[in-house]
Amino acid sequence: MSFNVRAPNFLKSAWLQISRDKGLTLATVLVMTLTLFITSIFAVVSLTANSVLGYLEGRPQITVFFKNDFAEDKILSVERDLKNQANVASVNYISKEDAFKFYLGEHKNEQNLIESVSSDIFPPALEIKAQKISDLETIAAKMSKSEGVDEVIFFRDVINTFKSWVDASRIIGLSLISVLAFISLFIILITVGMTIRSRSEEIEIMKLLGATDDYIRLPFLTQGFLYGLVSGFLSTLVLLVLSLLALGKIGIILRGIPVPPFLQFVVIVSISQIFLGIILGMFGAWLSTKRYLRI
Amino acid sequence: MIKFSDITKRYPDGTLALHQVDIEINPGEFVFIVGPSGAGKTTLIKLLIREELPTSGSVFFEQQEVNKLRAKELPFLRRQIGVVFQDFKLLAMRTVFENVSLALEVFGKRSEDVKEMVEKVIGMVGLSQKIHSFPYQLSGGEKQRVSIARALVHNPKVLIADEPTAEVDPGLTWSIIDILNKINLAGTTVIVATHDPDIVNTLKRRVIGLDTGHVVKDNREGSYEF
Repeated sequence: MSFNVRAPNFLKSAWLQISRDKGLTLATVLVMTLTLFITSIFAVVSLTANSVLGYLEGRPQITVFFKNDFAEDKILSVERDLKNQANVASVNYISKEDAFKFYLGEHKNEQNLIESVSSDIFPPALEIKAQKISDLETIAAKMSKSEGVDEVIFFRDVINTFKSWVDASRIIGLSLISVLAFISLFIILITVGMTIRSRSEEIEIMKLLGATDDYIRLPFLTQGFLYGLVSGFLSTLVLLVLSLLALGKIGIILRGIPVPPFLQFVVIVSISQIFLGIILGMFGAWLSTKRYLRI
Repeated sequence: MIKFSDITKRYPDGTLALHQVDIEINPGEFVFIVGPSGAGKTTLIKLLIREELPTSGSVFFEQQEVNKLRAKELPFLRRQIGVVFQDFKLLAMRTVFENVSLALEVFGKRSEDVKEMVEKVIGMVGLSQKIHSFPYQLSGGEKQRVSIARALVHNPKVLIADEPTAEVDPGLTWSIIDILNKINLAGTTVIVATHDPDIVNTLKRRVIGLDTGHVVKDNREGSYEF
């Protein structure tokens, strides 16, 4: 590439530095791209998991099924009692008819499942949401001893398992990202440091001619900026391709759960990782100028 | 005004380069600093552009005490002084044009913007034909002239030349001296460190003699002899 078209001096110098050692440039960009890519994967997964968790936490958390012959006014009385409890966020009564309608809606295209089914086989139920997940067990235990209750099911275990999985993946992800970010910084430090050393005579001459520290530092910061920018774009490219391939499969994986705004997450993460790459590249280069230029 | 006040310079290896040196050079002067190798000529130049710091004493450039300047102020001192280095200090990866324009680029100017100025000064030292050559394609004398062009291109207040004719063919020696003379006549202070008796004796300008770090003579219209 030629920079005869009035590019600023620091950009010409930065480009010259980058193109002089292609192997080192390639290694730096690859490590940075890997760091950014893994960061972005964890970010997209984390955003998606948070969205799913939010959905799960918003669902009825305890369902209390009553015996078929238990009177409706007694169930409504239990509902009123529950609504007065401080640890209960909401209570919703599902009558036998409501349950039947819901069932019909779910299986409207499956005639064999609808035929010979009436509302009698659906038990009346109360759907309860607790203020805190930790309250679920207390409420469920109390309800299971109540009169007329046939069965109590609650999602504490599902949510807790999912939550601990999200937390663990977050810790693993952050640890991995920290290690990779450190390696990236280190390799930028070495790459820019080697460039500085190979240009030490030139730098000394420029200083003797009256170059300021900023003038000398700028091409190296630009070098770090370009590493970050290119790595950010490469990582974004890979992320976008993989995301488009994965898009159709997300609905299958999250059976029954509404698909989160996955592409929106990908776009946010893509833009963020380009900025992150630039910050990482420039910070590494700045550290290198501090260490090797002693300015 | 340039002033070396009671300057002593001892290098870390123990070499005493200058000992209690007092020199004053007024604006517009043409001064030869003469003496054998190891007399302290180059050290004197290095102290003026603060490539080295004195062990004791002070160096003044105009109102500034050079050895007390902060690192941030140093570039602005050096931009007022053009130096023709004994070892040329040319950048191997840059052409003649790019080496000369570097002296303006470090001020933040783009080489395209200073093309005319750079071409003029390269023409002045007789290297127009080699403007796109790299240093490895030049003879010692040609490199010397590139170094002179680079020292002149930004119209410095002071021009310092460390052995400017050491590598130059005898035929070119006088053209270089002629250039330095003209620069001086235009008002620039010129300091030439040399051990070439011919040019010192012919020009009959102020001569400061150094020997083993001591000032041994300081004569107006002097000669090389000690």
